[in-house]
Amino acid sequence: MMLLKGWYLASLCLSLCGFRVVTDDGMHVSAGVRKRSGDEEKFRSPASLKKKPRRLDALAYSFSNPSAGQDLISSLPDECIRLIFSFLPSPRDRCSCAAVSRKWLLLQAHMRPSDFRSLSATAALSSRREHGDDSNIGAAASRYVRSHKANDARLAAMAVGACARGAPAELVIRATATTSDPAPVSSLLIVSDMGLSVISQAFPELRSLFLWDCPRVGNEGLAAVACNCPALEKLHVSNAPLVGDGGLIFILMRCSKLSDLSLEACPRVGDGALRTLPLMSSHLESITLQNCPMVRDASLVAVLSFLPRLAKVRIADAKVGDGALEAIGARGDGNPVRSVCLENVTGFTHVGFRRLGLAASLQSLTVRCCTGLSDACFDSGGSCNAGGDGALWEPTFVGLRSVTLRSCGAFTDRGLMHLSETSKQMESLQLEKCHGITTVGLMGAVRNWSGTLRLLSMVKCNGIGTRTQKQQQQQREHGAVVPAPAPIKCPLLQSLTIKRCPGVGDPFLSVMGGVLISARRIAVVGMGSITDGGFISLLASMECRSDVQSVDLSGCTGITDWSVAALVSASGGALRRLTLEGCEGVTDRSLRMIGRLCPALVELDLSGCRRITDGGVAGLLASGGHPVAGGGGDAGDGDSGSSSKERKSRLEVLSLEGCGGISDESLSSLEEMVVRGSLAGLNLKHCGGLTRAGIDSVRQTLWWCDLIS
Amino acid sequence: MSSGDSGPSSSKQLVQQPAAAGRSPNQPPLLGAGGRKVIVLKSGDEEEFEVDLLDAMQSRTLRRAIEDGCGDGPMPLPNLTGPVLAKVVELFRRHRGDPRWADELQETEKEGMFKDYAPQKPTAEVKGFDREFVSVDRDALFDLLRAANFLEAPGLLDVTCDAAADAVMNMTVEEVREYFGLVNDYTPEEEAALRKQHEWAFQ
Repeated sequence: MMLLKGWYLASLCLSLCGFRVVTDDGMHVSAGVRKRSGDEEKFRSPASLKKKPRRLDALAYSFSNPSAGQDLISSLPDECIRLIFSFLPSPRDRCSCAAVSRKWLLLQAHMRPSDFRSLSATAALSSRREHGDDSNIGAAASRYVRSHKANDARLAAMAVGACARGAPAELVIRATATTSDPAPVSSLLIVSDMGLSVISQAFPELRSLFLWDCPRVGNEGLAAVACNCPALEKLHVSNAPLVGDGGLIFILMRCSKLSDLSLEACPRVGDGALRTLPLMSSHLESITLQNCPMVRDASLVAVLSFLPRLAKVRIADAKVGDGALEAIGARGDGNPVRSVCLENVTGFTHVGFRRLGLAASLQSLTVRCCTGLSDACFDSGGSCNAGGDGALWEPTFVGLRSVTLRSCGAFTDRGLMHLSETSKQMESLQLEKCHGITTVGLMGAVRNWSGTLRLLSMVKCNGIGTRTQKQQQQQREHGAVVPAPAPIKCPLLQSLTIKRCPGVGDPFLSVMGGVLISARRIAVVGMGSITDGGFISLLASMECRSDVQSVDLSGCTGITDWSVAALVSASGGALRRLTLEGCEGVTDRSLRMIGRLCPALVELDLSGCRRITDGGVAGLLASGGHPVAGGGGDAGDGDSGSSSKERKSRLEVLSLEGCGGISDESLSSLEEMVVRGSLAGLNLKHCGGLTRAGIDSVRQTLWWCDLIS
Repeated sequence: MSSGDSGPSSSKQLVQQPAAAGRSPNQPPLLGAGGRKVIVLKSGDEEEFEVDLLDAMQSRTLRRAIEDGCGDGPMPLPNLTGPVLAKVVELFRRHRGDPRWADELQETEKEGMFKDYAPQKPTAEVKGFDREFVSVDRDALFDLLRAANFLEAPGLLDVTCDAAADAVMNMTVEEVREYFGLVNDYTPEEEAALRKQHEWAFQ
């Protein structure tokens, strides 16, 4: 057979088949290889072709009849269309072609920069310049592409634009809200494996990929990412019911640089992928597992034990046995885990938790909503009666620097004291909804950490501040540590947050003022029980008040002009951010003082200060280089010489939302602040005294100012 | 170049050809010692064209046929009409030595067939010819495109595809569709999503 002439065979074959090509001269057969795929439809009888030897085809379509059909281009194979595209490098032409039909969209999306003719590269550049503005925006945003409400159509269009705009290193894909009714398979309005495949081909240098709420993306899509983006370092997958072990194993095998993996709500991910992790991903530093019910303890133990560079672990919505926590604790000092976060985790006991604490290099611990967390977890003194193993009672959590505890009802003063006795380097303590902690325990811990503590935050802790007689009595009876009368001083404490702790009143604030030496940030939020007396005594107790840069008194309805006066006179020079949202006692006098004494103020929030009037807004201008006539006497401060000096206001953001007392008269003052100062953001929502026309005219003249109304 | 007369009956041809091809395909039949050989191409409407063998090698399809030993008699190209084939043959002649295909040829060449076929950069004259070559109407251009695709001739493909690209350059989506006779198969929602992604491109 091989020795025979190919075209003869073809003729013979076709004549046997009764194919119409064999005409009177018998020559309507030509030899040639059709190595291209996708053009079978052009052959009238594909079945007959199978019998032919290689290199033979019958090209039965006619060239000579141009009016035969309107669809001229479809008779050509994809390669030919791609060749035409290769002469059209300009983004505009690419987008036009992509919008022609589905097939062309995919063809365009698969075009690589190298596919375009080199001589046209300059054309691409010049075309980019043509679309100057857009391309610049694209270039600026090219490092991070966020596609919320993503779908395949947009991803493919993005892939088409990738050549012009430069491939980004980070891509966030969030699909539209999942609809219950199944979308048609061919629809481009969902994010599917096809879209992911196209986009991963277009962005081969991708380093971070976030896939949020893409229920149609499965293993094939991840496999395409794995093949196309070998430089991937960060992968976050959330709410992906179709993603399973197969796709993830592809990623783990191909993307050897993967350092950050997060899996949330992936019901099909299980032990298969997790067992592959320690084998493949030697660079993995951070792992998050949330709501992955197929992951079992054994594989989790393997992951936590054997990943050499693992430094950050977050496990949420899961059942984790003591073994996994022990695995973290048992890692040597050579490759320690530095941060552990457990949220809504059940299944562990204080025994496993203490073993976790044996990891001396553990620096950050976050526990939220874990019923297993009790005082015994931090007890290393042997006072707990569980277990007789002496080795267990080594000091735990000795290297801890930051603790965040939220909604841990079983954690009380005793646990906090144990913790404060063993971990000597604590820098940050954040408590939220830990109702078991009282002022006694808190102050005891603060005393133990007084040399290192930098940040203290208490949110919705009902026990704080309520130091009743009864409690003190109880403490004395139990012989526990009672704060000695000697004052506690935390020289490093920079940030104090007390939010919505119903028990906190003026006395507690005054105690905290004694603890602080030179705080930068003070937030006392949402506590109606606080009065001027409490806040002023907090300031008065501080040794060095001039460093306060940020003060938040939102929702403290008891705060009035007196507090503001004390604050701005003590630390007005350093104050950069002041929030008085909902402080209804604040009046124009405060504003005049702020205007005069806070030259460095950048952000001022006066939302809901209903008693503010036009005079107050004008008073703010004092710092804007505009001498205020008659303002000096009202403010009542001695140093009024500065008002005559030309000073530039540094105020950038001002919120007057809900200030019903101001009228259009204030607008001129505000315009002044925008024009002469640096005001760039202005919130005038729900200001009943302002007219629509007035706001519109401001908006027109001050078009560069971000005005919300 | 001569207009071909009507060939003999099909059955006769079929019987004759195997005899003519009795040699081993490893020895290309048309390569004598030295001198240029020509082959004859026959269009679908029975026109015959003489082409220098080396020029015909620009087409991968023809090259394979020649290497398979089909170059003895007139080579039938039923899919090409006479006018199209005439243009193509002319382009082959002008593109002699075009590096776009000669490089590839030298890679695959084994027996020194093409040693005197030095690649040379297309001259301004050739470029001018190329421009002239594709200054035809749409249907003719598509005939040439299909011919280029069928013949797998890189030079011809480049010239024709470039021309097609030039034709649709700066067209709107609808104009491109009309030019290529394509039907819009997007749903309105899909098209809206596409446009949203690249609004500036659709102005």
